[in-house]
Amino acid sequence: MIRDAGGPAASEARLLRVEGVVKRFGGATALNGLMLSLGAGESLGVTGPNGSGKTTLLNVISGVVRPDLGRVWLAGLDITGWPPHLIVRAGVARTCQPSRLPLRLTVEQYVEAATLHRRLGRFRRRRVVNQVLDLTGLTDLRKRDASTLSSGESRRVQVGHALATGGRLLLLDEPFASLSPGDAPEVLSVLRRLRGQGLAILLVAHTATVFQALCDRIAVVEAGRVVRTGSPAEVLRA
Amino acid sequence: MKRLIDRFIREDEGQNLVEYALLAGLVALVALVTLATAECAHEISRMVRFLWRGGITVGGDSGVPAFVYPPGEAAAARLAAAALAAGLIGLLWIAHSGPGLAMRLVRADERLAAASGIDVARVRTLAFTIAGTTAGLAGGLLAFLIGRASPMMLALGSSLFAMAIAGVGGLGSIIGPAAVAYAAAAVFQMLDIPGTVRLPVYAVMLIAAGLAPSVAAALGVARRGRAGK
Repeated sequence: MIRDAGGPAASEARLLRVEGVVKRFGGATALNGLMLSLGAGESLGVTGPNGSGKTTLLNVISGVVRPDLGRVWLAGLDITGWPPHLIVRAGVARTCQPSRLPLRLTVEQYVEAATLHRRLGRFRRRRVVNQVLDLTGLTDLRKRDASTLSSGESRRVQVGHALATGGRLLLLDEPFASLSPGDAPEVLSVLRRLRGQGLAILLVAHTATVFQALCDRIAVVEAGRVVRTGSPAEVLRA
Repeated sequence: MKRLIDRFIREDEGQNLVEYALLAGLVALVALVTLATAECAHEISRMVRFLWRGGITVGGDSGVPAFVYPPGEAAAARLAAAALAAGLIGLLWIAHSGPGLAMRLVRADERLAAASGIDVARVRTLAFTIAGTTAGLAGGLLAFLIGRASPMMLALGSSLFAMAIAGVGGLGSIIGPAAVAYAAAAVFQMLDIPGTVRLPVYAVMLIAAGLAPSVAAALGVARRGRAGK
């Protein structure tokens, strides 16, 4: 049976609705009629075993992968199959691992690049960049080459880049993976601040402490479907 | 076939060596077709002749006559230097503007560019338009300086020269290739090196530019190895 991660408020107007999404890669089914929804300002954690379809779900929402069946709605707008840049413009931001190619961008330029599509004037763009750098604690690093940062700093730059797109929904794919124990609290503190600012967050992770610190609800995905949903305390107890 | 290509582009999971080899082969094919098309266009333009007003035949190797402006070599050199400076300032301004940043992002990482909300196809078209316009203006100026527009202006030597200076000056750089082009052209002029000798020099420059990153990486590894001992 296909279950909805929307909870009691699912019938209300939701910021994100994923309806019966199916995605197959050759003979393997990554998503098998997955359904979930997320309200504005809500924080939803997605967990599950490796290969259960968590990253494919983020790829479908952000337009990197087109679903075989099903629809994705953002604030009542059907964004299924839209190209990634239009989905970003519609309000879905996603952290993106920077290229290993020699891009030679400073932290400031990296964040500024995400504001280009917003057609802001020069001064408003500067103000947005300053706000994002302040929010992610990167103001002192603004002139540093983005390729020379530590893993924690680099992860905060990725979050800053996603924020600067002006999105209402932030997709995070394992934001604490491969971080040193010293870097993780910095990133957690930035994400807590974002949650406090009312940004909706859809977070893929494996760690219970992360869900307890950041999420209103958790959806457990297995074999491409949501099999359980509830508050972090309920789901982690089960 | 379209579906197969579409799936190949969209699905990035499970890429293996065969897919990367196919991609590299496709890039090589596109590069070959581009070079062959330019060479074919060049050869065809050499064959075409037509009657000009007053019964004069123009075209082929002799090209189309244009009035020479300005008269005198010194004035022409000054005009060329001024045009180069104006072109460099214009291109540097674009490179440091928003569209320039978008172009750098698209060149380095298309997925990152799309995640920034940038329309990759549109930025690529803009980059080609700017490059084509700049090259067209430069060609127009050259025609006025030498007094004719002919297919020989873009013979093999000129194409190789452009590729060699782009390689040595640095791809993605504006000042580097311009400085190398100016210096190389000046040296060739001063030493009066004939065209047949220039071609192997261009080839050596291209090979050196291609090998430089590998040599630098190898030297870096050797240095780090010595420092580690």
